[in-house]
Amino acid sequence: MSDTLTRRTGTPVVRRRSLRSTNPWRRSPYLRTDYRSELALFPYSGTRLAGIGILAVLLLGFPLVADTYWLGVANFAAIAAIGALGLQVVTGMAGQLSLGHAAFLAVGGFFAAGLYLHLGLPFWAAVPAAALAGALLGAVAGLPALRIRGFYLGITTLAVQYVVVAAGLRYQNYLQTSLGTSGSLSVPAPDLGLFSLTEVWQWYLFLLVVLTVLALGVTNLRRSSLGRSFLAVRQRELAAEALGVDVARVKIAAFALSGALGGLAGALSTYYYRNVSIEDFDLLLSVSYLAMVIIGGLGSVQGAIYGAVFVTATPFLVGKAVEVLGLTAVLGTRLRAIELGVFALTMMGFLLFEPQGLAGVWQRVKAYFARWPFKYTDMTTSAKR
Amino acid sequence: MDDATRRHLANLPIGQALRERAALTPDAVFVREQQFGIYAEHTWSEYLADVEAFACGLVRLGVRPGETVAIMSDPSYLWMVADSAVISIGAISFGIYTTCSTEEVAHQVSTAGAVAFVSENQEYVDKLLTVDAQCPSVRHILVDDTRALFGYDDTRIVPAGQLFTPERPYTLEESDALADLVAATRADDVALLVFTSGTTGQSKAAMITHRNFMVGGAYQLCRVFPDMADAQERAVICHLSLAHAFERIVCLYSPILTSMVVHIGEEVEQLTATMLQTQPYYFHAVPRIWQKLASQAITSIDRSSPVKRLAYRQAMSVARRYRALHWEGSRVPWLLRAQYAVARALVFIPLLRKFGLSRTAYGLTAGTHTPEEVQRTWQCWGLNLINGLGMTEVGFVAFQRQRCPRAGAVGQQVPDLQVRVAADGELEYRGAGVFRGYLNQPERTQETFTADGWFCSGDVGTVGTDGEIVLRDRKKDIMITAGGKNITPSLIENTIKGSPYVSECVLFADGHKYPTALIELDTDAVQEWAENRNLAFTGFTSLTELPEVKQLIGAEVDRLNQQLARVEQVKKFRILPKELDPEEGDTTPTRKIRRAHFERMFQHLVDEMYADERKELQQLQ
Repeated sequence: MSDTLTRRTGTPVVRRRSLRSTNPWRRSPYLRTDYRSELALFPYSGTRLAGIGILAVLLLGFPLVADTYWLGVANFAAIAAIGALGLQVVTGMAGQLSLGHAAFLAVGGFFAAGLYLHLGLPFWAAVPAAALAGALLGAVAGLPALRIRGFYLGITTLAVQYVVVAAGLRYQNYLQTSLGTSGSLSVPAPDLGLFSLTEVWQWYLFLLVVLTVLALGVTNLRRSSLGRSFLAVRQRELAAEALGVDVARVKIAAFALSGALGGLAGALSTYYYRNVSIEDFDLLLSVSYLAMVIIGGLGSVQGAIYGAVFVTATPFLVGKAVEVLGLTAVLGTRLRAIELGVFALTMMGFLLFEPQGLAGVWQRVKAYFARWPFKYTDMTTSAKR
Repeated sequence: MDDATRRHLANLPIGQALRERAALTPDAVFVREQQFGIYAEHTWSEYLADVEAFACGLVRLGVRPGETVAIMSDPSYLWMVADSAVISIGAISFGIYTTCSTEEVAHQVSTAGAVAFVSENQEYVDKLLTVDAQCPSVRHILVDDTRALFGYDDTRIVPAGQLFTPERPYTLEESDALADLVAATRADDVALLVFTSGTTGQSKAAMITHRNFMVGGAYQLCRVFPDMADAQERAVICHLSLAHAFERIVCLYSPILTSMVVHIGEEVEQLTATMLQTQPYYFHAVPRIWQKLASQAITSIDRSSPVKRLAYRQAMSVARRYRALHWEGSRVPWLLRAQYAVARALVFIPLLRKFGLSRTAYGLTAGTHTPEEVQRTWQCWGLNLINGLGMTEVGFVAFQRQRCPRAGAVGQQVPDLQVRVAADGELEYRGAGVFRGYLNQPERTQETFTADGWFCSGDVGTVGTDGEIVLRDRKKDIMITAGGKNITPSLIENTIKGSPYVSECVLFADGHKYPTALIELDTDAVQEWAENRNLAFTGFTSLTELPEVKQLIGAEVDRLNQQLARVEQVKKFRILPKELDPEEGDTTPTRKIRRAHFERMFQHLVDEMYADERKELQQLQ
């Protein structure tokens, strides 16, 4: 006994994490014995793993059942989701209104195409470069945010949009006058060494992987110190500053990240369409990205994806519905107006009745069952989302 | 661990049993204590090392065998270590409730003559220092959390951490001396004191030997619940005060014989969070906690959507039919069994999961009478809530054994206890658990023992042939109405406490025409109820004065009166205008009513209820 004592006396009461583990399945999943498990991105596996598994099966099985048309819709939605994630970072998480998100997409798209045209840079090099260019523009576009906020900031970002569009027009004119027909901004099908992206289903799988990685990255960002600084700045700048958050740095970082993701989406869409033209990046595109994050739910990573899918798929669904109902003859010419009408109405509906967006609806459904049979209480605070 | 080993360990002095247990399973976890959100794990060998360090520290401070040490703290790892260290050197430990008033602290410290005072933090040091003059025996004050202790220049104050990491390391001689002290303890020496709750008069210190709690307590628990001792880790939560005999036996000494792992939450106030995190295999609590949890659940369901309410009502009606048959002992038709299984899966298991009790094999309620309705409700929900009977002076007396047993009974006596019924119906006990006597009160000790050495419990009851103990009441508590009817107040009080909106009920009937009651509202439940109906109130007192609340309680009392005989029915009641608070002396630290104080304090309310009776008397005169 004295042997034990001499060896072990003087050990403090609070002490190292123990290495032994009990059978994890018998133990309560909420019983955390270290901070690592507390910080886990996806805590308490069980049902959650099952949910992720089912989702993966559904997503991977989609190309087997869907035809090229719907697979194409899914690809548009995936590209839009990547762009929407970018807007979510700056507007949803950091709370900085950005009305010129199309500018970042335009820069990304033109960089990807331009780099191929002038330098012959391939897909795998051009896309990251485009993202970088987007980030640079984002950082510049974010500068006004250091002084102004709210709608005034919105106007300056709008200005960025028009500057970029004007620059893009001049560039297109320059190409046409100096290079003529060989100055077309088209790109070849991307070659990734092991395989090339020519078929729609190949694009689908590629975009799925990219989107998953980015969504996980942004989710992870939210719990990092930078991500929490974003949330702090959104909630109240003054308080965030008092807590030691470098507000200027955080805002620029948010805009740069947003620009990078926007640039990435732009570059991907250029390669997906094999072409790019500045006319595609009008104000309406910026507005529809804003619609995505609002419909999806401001500040939520899942929300950006839901919103992108919703906004992208709705026109196609409306078109299909008109076709199925046999109304093509009557409404065929007014299809665009109907699409816009549906879009406007859903947008207003969400703003009025469901400001937390689709992600909020999902949270509530989950909470309803999680609290069963007790009263539903809204346990998400706005800061937590 | 087989039964022979357990029996062997149980008959050792606690300090030696601890050592042997740590040698058997050095790397098994014994305690998990939550600190800053995560549970710090302590194995048996770590625990023993800490106990030995603390014990060496105590010896170095000059604590000698036979001297007493007070511990005032919420349940914590340090509490456990300090207790084991004190006991293993042959000194005597006792706990003080953190809710004790300063007078009570002074009374207990001076009665026991404590030489050292282990305190969780500055708050309890202050309590001691205000009554310093009455406690001259205290030589050392050991403090766990010293953060608020700046500006205290009392030389007796020592940070408890210093005992674990002393400036001058413990020498081999010191550890040898410690080994000798541990070896010198005997199982029949007094190991600890437990102060009785003191509902009538000053609390008395019961002298408990090692064997009393190890054999009469912990070992009986193992024999009644053999699965507590199998190889699986069995999570329990330590949340009641460790000054209480029940919690001490369960969380400090039973783990030595079993595979129980003690979990201590961040704060005792956050019990529900701790329950959810640890999901205990075995959850023990006083009836008040069971009642509070159940009433929280029911009011929360009352506020929920119609669909959820409907689902609960349907499930409950199935469960009541199912349990009624089950309690009668008759066969349950398969259709009803299937219905109950569905009700459980859809409603009750999700409900229990909110409390972290969905995997709980035993819920134990003990300490005082459990309102039958509370026990029935939990059993309907599918939690195996059983009643236990124990006494500080005897250890465990009886447990209900079957799954989901009939409410109200206290169950069969434990194996190693002899029970007999005296001529006046009083239950008398003899066995390893029966204590040595009250400290410094030989005449009181003598009163509690019969001439042939049996302990007089003061409970009136009967013992069935199968060892089934049925309690009638406390010997002194029976009331006689003006009409000459004998009334058992605890029975009526417990019936009324079956309402989710009532947290405490005190009955008056002695010498009066009819029984009346003073009722304390269950703050949370009634507050939610009132908020739900948009009733305006500012605080507890204003809540009690709302006419709607009076109506609510009136309806509840009327409903519950149906379960009582005519003479027992509560004819009038008043709602207490304040919450009962142990620190103001309304109740004992275990929340038992101090009747004398209570009657003095609320005399006007009682008089008001019997105003007509007095008028009648005046007319006669």
